[in-house]
Amino acid sequence: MSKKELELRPGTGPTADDQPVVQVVRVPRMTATWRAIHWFQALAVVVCFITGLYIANPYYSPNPTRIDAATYFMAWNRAIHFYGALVLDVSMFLIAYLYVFSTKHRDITDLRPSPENLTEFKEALLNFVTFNRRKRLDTSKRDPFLAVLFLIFHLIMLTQLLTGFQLYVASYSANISAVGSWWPWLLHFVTDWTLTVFGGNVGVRETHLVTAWIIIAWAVFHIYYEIWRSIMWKEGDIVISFGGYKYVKRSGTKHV
Amino acid sequence: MEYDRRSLFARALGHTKELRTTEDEALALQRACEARLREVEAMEPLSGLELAPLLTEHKLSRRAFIAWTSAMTAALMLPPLLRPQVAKAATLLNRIPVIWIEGQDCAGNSEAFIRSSGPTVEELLFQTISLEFHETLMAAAGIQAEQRKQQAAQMYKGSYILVIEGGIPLGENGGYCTIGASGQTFVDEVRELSGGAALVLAAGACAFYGGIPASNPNPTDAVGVSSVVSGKPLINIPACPMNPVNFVGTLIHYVLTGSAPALDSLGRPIWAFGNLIHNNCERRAHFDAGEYVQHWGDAGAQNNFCLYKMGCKGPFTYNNCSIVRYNEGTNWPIGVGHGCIGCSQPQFWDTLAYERPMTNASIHAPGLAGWGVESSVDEFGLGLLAVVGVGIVAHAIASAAAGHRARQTEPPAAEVGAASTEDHQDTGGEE
Repeated sequence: MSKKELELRPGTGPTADDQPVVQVVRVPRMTATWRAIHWFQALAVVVCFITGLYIANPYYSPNPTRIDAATYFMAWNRAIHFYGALVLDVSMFLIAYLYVFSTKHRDITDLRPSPENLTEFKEALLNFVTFNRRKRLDTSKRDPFLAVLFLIFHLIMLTQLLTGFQLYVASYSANISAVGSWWPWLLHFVTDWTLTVFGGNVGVRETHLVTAWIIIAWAVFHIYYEIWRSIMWKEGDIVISFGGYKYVKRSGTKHV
Repeated sequence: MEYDRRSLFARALGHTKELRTTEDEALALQRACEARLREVEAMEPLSGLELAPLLTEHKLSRRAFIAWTSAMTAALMLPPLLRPQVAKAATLLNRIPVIWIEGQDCAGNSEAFIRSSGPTVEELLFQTISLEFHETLMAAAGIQAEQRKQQAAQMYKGSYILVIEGGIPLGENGGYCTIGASGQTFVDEVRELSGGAALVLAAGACAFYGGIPASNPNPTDAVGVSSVVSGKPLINIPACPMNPVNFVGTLIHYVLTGSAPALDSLGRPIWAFGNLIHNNCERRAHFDAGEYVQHWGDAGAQNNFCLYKMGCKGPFTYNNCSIVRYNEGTNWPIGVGHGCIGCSQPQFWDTLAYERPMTNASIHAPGLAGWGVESSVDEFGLGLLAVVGVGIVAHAIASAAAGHRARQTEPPAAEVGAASTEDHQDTGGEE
């Protein structure tokens, strides 16, 4: 969508007969891939959180007077937790790739500390904390403030994935795995530094549990922020993740 | 068609190492061990005690000894082929001089050897090893005892095994723990004796990481051996107390090979500390089934359910007690109905030894430079969510009020006008 398309009589330029009009235009914001990543992640986060709470402190049990070997509550919770984690792992790899190599929009460009980006970041932040009504940023695109919010989320997720893998590889017996010794070796190679940073396997576990709550808190804030933006700018931010588009007001001219 | 699933990907990725020791490797290992055993055998027996007569004297049959050597061979993760060499190594332990010193501890690791119900093979081996110095067990006391220590350290310089039991206090220049008539600090004693040792063994949780004396607030500034001794091969054999099997196994490994066994990142022998207790726990099936003891003595406890909800730290703890147990395999903590307290892990008293799951324990684990409030993970999480929730409500109200004020002061068209005067860049082709 370009400015030219906005003009109802393109090509001729404004004349004395043209009148300014405001038009609502549909702006593409999330590709199908990004929306799929978004909803798979949202689902996986919820699934991992619910099953993770159970793994950390099992809050339901079968009737102890009836020994029933078919329940396997913990085994199922762990399995589902790992499947959810797998979705998050794969999606994080995809995101990391799209950050840098996307053919449509490379998120890494929003994080460049250029003067324009810094100004837009400041304006978006001021919008949110001072409730001013001024709009000195381009809300039709992903602004740097949003980009930083998502970067924070991705860094939190990375912490969760690395600590999660460390907890996962800790349970391997003598580094034997069903697919060969390279797999635990790789996990140790990639995640063993977390033991030093977070204070042994106790620290890693505690970090994993705390980070889970931070992710949920971030998600709550994220939903609120999108709703708030939708109300603030009336551009339908909240529907981006469903349809992939948002709707912005564009000024143009109309020939009468 | 049969195939080994484990090696499919391993082969594809070039990792061709088989997990099983091949017969050739086992035979090569056997030959190497035999050569080493011939060397040790040529050495003079130091203790004057031989294992065979001791076994007869205590009515331990040959069958019992063979059973023990088989178990030890398996525990050391050696091929069964090496059982005779393990038996031979056990009889040659009397060639190795051992100096055993104690610092800030309860002597529980020594007790673990000598206070079994009947003489065990481990206990008899403990008698045959050439124990040159052990404060708790030796007859000498005071100046005579110290002289014996100096004598032994000089006589076997470079060849003795130094066993250190207990934490090492560093506070007040080590003054919290002085040893013997001369009042030498324990930290000095450790430094001095480790200098002439061939191998240093840190026996028990206190020698491993300072143990209970080092628990918060650690008034004596206690540390483990690894913080004091450097430049010497050091093997940590933690747990509270350490399992005699792991101690004897490490000695036998030394006699068999002349070197320390493979160690994990915390300096513990992998053959003993390579697995989580949880992985071989007899109650593991109940863990997977979600069958937990909820209260002491409840129906779950009567049915030997999993102790995870009662704070069992088996899933966090590396040790072989779920396999070898204690006191000649009689029993172990989880077997008698109490959860594991993680005593072979660093700082276990502060971070693991409580009767609740970690997420529900209001104990702040050390590690964040003392930062943090004493709250459980879930309390922290709910608090965080509450803060976010309150923040959201406050923000929403303030934002709505600001919007209301703006609408009252500005004409409705202003918003549109403002938008139309903005000079935005193109948004086409976004993402």
